[in-house]
Amino acid sequence: MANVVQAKNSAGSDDPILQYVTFRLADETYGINVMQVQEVLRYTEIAPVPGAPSYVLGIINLRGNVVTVIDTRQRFGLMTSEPTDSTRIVIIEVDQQVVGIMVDSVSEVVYLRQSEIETTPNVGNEESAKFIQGVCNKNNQLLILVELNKLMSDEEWAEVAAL
Amino acid sequence: MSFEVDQDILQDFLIEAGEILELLSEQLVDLEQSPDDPDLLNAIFRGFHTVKGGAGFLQLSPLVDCCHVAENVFDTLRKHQRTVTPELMDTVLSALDTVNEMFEEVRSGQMPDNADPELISQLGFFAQPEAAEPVAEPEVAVAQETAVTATAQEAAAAPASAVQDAEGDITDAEFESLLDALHGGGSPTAPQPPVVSAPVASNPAASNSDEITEDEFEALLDQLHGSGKSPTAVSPPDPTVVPGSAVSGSAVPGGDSDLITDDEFEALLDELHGKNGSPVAPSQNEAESNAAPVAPAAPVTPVAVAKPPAAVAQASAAQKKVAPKKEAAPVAETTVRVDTSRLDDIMNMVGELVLVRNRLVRLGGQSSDSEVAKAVSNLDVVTADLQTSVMKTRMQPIKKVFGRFPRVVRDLSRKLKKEISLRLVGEDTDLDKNLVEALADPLVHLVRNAVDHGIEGPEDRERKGKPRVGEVLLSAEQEGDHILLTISDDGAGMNPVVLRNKAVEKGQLDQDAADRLTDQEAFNLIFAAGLSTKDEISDVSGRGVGMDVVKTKISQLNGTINVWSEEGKGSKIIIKVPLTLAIMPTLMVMLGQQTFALPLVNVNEIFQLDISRANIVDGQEVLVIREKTLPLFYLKEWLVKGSDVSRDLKNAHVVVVSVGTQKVGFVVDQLIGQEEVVIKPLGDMLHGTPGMAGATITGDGRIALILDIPGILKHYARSSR
Repeated sequence: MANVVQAKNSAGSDDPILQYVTFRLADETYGINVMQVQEVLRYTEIAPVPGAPSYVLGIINLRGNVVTVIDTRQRFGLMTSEPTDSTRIVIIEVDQQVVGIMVDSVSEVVYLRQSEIETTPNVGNEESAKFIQGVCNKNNQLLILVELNKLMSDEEWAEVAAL
Repeated sequence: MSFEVDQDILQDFLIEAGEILELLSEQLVDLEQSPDDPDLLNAIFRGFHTVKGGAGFLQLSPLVDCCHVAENVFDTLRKHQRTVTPELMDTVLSALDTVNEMFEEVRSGQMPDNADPELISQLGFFAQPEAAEPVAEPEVAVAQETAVTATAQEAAAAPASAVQDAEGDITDAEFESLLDALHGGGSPTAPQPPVVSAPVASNPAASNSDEITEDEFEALLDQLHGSGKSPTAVSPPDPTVVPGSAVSGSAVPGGDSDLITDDEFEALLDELHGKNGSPVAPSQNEAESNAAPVAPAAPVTPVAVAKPPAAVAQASAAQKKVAPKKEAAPVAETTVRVDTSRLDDIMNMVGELVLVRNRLVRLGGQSSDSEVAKAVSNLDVVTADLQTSVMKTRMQPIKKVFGRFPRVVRDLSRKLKKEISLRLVGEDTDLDKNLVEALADPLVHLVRNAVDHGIEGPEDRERKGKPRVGEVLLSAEQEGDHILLTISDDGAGMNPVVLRNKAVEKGQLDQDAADRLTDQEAFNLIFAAGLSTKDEISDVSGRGVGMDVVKTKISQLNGTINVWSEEGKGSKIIIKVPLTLAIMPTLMVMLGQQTFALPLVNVNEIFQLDISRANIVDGQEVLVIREKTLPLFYLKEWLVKGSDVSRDLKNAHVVVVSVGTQKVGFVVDQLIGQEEVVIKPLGDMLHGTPGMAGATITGDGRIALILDIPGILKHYARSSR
């Protein structure tokens, strides 16, 4: 908490600069820690897996490896939409497993100070709030930082385990 | 309690000793069949010995003690001072079990507990010659004492072991352990010697360096010569040193020359051999029994009573000579130990290559360029060869599993008081390493079943006019890309009526359904969970879980299992498993826009059909084919969201798959063909999705899901009703 309230100009070692990959979903911009991103792919055909949890779109062939793709829109409580030209699959590594998340578009990598990140205002519905690490207001734009480790929350894990 | 040792050495020991122990259990059972086979006795003796050597080096004294007494028993046996009796075998086998247990403890990083003293003393009893002499008692005492005083023991036993093994192989570890033992042994004895030459020997021997340097070795040799001379001077006045004179004698001729001649060396070896062959029969020892528990060291070189270091020097000199000789021997190592994970990596890469090849083959088929076609077909051949060779590196003979059965059968038949001979056929059949491991448990279970349920007691058999000794046959053979494993017995067989009744009794089937089962299907009831024909539960079997587990295990391996039985004649269980787990032949089918792969093991036949001919029975669509009814399912409705298959297709493709003895028809949109695929696991998130065995990448780079047919039926067929 203290970090968040800290003055913005203290660029010391206790205020590290973090890099975030930003992507858009519907009308919002989200950011994920660059260290967790392996690569960004153009949309490729996703093979649906019958019987899989609803938030799993299917699997793709990533150079000979099978990677699960998560429907981020569904996860964030948004309407599903058809893939477009700018649709991307961001390959991320969470807890040593590689998964892909489908997003509307990927924009850039931004540099943020730890101190610039604020805790989540109580936005959105209950469910999505779980994945939000914090928000950041930069250039008059609200950036929502996603906590990937929680993207598949505990109960979902339980659901997966129970299958 | 854990212990600190060099992990590399420990691993080497674990691997090597593990193999020896496996071999030992086979050899021990063989020994019962041919109790007088000297080669076998020697082999077992050496086996225990090598394990002891390694364990000694790692200072696993409980293991050393146990191996030591066992070794003594076989020493007595091979000198024909005792004959093999079932009691002896029981004891030795339980000693082997103890050793195995300790071994497991060591593997898990634990210091093993001491062996049951009763077992040790029993072994000690068997270790003494059968003709009980009046001195017998004290001898046993000595033997036991030596066994228990581990440290002294190690020092004593190790030098003996070196020369001993000169006959067989000296492994590095063993040699190390020897040196170590010598060093250890050198120091305690060092203070004693009154002879001038002794300190020279004890110094190098007691030095802490692992290797003996050239100089040291020279010194040792000199020492040996020196001692060779001196004992001759000493021995005449010492009457107890009768056997010693031989050693010293052999050394004497060389005493004048600078080098030991080969002959001399041989003689020396022989001499030492003869000596330590009987470190446990310390009969000459009585007179010098006050020579302390280090006794076994003493008899090796009688001179040692006077000058122990000389003995050490001799032994080490001899041994030092042996080692280089061994290494120089032309038996170059032809095998390399490779980490299995590395093999797995190679296997994966070859898998990728196969996929690329498939893709190229597909592309090559489209192009009209004959050069390309040639290159592609060349690649095709080479990849196929590469694939088989890589697969072969992972192959292991099924002997690894079969090897344990003689023991299992022997123990069980003794326990159940049955007479059973086990016949193994096709032990050299190779199959994938993972399969070998995975098959072990199911096979043990089936063999136990055959012994327990199958074979009747000897009296029973005689009454039925069968030979007293029942036979269990375990065979393995390769059939195309499959391995057939057969477990058959000539026992009582199964009664299908009893099975039907049991199934009804347990509420698994209603009477009508049970009556409709063919005998064949009734036999397959034994695989159902909770069904046991035994009314009593014993510790061998009868809980009715086993066969269910066997079946599950086998289907996990993409294998099938079938039972044949004839009452009064015996039963036969046939297991069919693929040669390898990594690559799977499949039938590719299309459902809508998506490709799915059906494991070819399950696929029985494919035909085209006018679906309107299907009937509906009890809400389930069925098909009559060759006067048999098949339930018919529409895979597309299960696996493709929001699809509905029209029921009046004139030319539907039906794939008949079998699950156990049950056959089911699947309607699919399109058949693509047979393809060998590499199974890719689904990620953690999708792991365990019902009906999905994994995924694979097709020749055109797309993904195909591999269906787990039993799983899919279980999940969807039930919910659709």
